[in-house]
Amino acid sequence: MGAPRRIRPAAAWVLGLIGLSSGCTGGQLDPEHQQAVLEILEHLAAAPAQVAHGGERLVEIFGTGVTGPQYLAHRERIQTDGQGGFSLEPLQVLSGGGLDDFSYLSRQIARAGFNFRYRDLQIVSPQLLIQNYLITGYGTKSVVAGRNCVQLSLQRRVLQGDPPDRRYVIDLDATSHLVLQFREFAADGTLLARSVYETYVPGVPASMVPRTLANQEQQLPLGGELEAALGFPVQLPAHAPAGYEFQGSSKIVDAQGRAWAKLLYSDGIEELFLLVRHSPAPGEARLKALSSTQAGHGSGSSLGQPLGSPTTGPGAPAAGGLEPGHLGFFEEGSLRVIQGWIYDWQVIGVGRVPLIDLQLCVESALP
Amino acid sequence: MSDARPEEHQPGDPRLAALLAELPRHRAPRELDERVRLEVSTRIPVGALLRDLHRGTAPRVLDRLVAEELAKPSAAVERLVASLPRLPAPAEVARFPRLAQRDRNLRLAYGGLAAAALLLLGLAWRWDSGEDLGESDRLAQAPERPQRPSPRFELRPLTAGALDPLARELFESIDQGRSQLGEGG
Repeated sequence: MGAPRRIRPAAAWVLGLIGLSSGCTGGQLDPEHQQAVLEILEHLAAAPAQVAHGGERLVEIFGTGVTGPQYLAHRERIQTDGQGGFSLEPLQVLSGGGLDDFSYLSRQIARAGFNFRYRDLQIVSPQLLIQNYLITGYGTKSVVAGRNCVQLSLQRRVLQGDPPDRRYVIDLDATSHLVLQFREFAADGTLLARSVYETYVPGVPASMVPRTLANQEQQLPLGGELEAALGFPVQLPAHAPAGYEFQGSSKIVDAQGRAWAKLLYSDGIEELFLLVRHSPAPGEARLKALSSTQAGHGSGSSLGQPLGSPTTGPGAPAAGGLEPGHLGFFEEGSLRVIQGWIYDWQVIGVGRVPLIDLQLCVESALP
Repeated sequence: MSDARPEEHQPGDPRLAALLAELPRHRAPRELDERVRLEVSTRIPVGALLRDLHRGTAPRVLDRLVAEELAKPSAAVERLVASLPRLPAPAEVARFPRLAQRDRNLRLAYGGLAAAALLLLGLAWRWDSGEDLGESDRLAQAPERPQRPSPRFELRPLTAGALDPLARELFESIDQGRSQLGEGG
């Protein structure tokens, strides 16, 4: 996404709010209002990287774990320099959901890069957001961390036959357009997550030490440059879930030293990650993975084979009489992961989309 | 009169050179010298020629018209329209004031009807926009899902422990630790 153009904030807000009030929910704004809404959303999308500030936030996560209801909460310090540099440090564990404080904090530290880029209602594409979300509320004034804010409520549009989806209520700083509070609700109104600034100091923090991303991510355009870096061809999936569009590709190296192509999709707010790597699938690994799946424990990768594929030759099971031919999936709430090792391609897809859509996306990403 | 043809000489013939040398010489006219000199030396830059020309001053009205044109591109059209001759209303109109009054009333009536229609359209559009709809109505309005192709692979459930380390890391990061895979997987 390019840098947003300078606009007259007052005019944009007035036009935008008029636009929102006059039927933005239907996505049928006249061009002038649509442009104003887009400009507000572009500021909103750019603000996390461009608005230099420091502050402390309370982050709360509500969910249902395998052992019952989960409540996770911690305080963190956020600092950004307005040039893309940031640091995110957990300060205090309020509820670790069964984890000791050290383990909880360690996880937050390890995920700081991910949290900054993907957790706090990052708007990836304003155009996609308007396409995929209803703007169901607007204009309510609020005060967060001593700053004047305006509330905006969004609800994911659904297709026929789909259940109602989640919704978001965000409090935008009226001056900087930074999200100072966001709340995520399930379709039934249950609060799922909340992040709120408790203090806010504008300007570049003097003590900030920018964080370095841990997974050596290199953002590279799809094509020759990415393929040269990875050493194998990468293709976009033929079937992306409805409303999701390709946002970018990169090379990442995971904790095991394996290089993956990462393809990022978004519906404007929610991301879908697709990871592909070329690696010969050893028969032993496949056998172990399948065995662990059936036994309900283990640590290997799962096996995938086409339905009706031959049971001899390079793609056949190694031994043991185990039935080949599946991709593996795991889901918790609306979040799903599919993984598989199909011939010499290992693939992973993670996102909040229907399982069948994630499967079609994963399958069609294989060369 | 002899019909003998004059002797032909080829260029470079020494006899031709000798004959030409014997011819009486005449000085070239001065005009020729002048024209040759001009022809050879004349590469006068156009800019220099233009500089030497007499400079006239554009009339002030031209400045104003150009300024108007730049400030408001429709100015030329407005000037043209303003310059058109105005035709007087037919005399019959003045003779029949009742007719003019009836036209005014009709215009008001039609205007009112048009405004009412626009209001109704606006209300209908707002009604259709979804903002005032209930959840069930909104879902009923949802667009149809495009037909999906059939999947090629069988899909089987995995335990959290069977997830690839990277898949697990991504899942946990997006899930924000809600499902506690490390403890419950």
